[in-house]
Amino acid sequence: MKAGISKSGRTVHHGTHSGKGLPLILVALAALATGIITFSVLSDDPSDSQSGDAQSSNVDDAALAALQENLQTSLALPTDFRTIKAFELQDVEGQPITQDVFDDTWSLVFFGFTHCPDVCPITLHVMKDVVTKLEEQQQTPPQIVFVSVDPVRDTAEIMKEYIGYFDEEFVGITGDVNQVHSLTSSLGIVASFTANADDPENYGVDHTASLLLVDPQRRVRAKVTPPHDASKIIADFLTMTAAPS
Amino acid sequence: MNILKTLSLAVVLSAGMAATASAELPLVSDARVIQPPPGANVAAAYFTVKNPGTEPLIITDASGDIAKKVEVHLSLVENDVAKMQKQESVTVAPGASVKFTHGSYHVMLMGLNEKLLAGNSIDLKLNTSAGDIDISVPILSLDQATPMGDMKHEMGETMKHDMKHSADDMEDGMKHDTK
Repeated sequence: MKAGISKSGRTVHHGTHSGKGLPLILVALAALATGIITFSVLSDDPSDSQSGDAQSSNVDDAALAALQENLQTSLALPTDFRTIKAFELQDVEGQPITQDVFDDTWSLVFFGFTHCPDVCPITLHVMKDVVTKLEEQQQTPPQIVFVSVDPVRDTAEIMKEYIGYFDEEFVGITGDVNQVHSLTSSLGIVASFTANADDPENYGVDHTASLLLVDPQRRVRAKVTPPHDASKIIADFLTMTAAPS
Repeated sequence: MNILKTLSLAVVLSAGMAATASAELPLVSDARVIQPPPGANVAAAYFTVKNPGTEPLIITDASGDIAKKVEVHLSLVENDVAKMQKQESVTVAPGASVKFTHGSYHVMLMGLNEKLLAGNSIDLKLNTSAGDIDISVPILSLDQATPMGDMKHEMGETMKHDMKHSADDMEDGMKHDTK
């Protein structure tokens, strides 16, 4: 089951969000409850997407379809689908980090938050497993990047402790809430807050469950869909990195 | 590990339940909570609740001193968005079991009052239609929890809030004692 995602790269609607009013209400509630105003609903700006109408005038289509055939848990994306845009945020040391961190290496990017008890630790654990197993196979693993969708609570200090627990090599990105939102929404990543009326500080954050595979030219090349399984992710990673682009 | 786990299966029922025939008592097994990464002040407790009785068992709430807030939650992935929803209740049909597990129901511990360290255990109380159930929940490390866990299989499965479906999800016959 590939949560709401067609196998065809042509029909990808990035940032699958319900957008039927209710999330907006929740966001408004969350904003009231938490004082966070703007970091919220995913924009799904059509002008942002280069995949929508690019009809099959492209010879790459056949290659993409062939690539997709060989993927187990990922959706291959056209090379012009999205590119990581310029940003300036904070790493886990509180130092500036920019889009350059994606240069010259493949990256597997996860969007989560440290107040997430269930999905996030397990996903990071799977990512650690991916790295370890690829190294055992004498393969160069992807760089693992954890972008906080809850940068207000996820300070650099907390991120360092949290991510370092899995692997100190993992890259953590947090920072100004608006700028983080700008980055995530430009990638079609959902991050929406759910207020907790009883306990405003313990608001929830709904977030995209898929991982993004980004190539050394910062292009988003695949969406890795849950359930996250290390061996399938490894197989797809090796397929993607071997494919011509 | 196994010893720890087995010990944890002891379910202590509150005094009010003593008169009920033992075959009818709800059984809680496979309890565990994963040691959260440092920096996190939340955790999720998992277990399986079996209802051998003839009436539906309704879990209405959970409590414990370990955290400032203890709630029953459901994790689900819907349209590729991971969500958590507070549950007013979870019903276990007669003769059925419900698994509280990764990617599904869990007891959410928010605002931990102390660090959870693998090897220790925490006490939780489940408030149910059959009375309160005290459970001792061993703390496992992520490494301990994942290989034997059901996580890989269950993670991210489509988990709608469908009691009947969950209730039909029979547990695999883990043996344990009640007292």
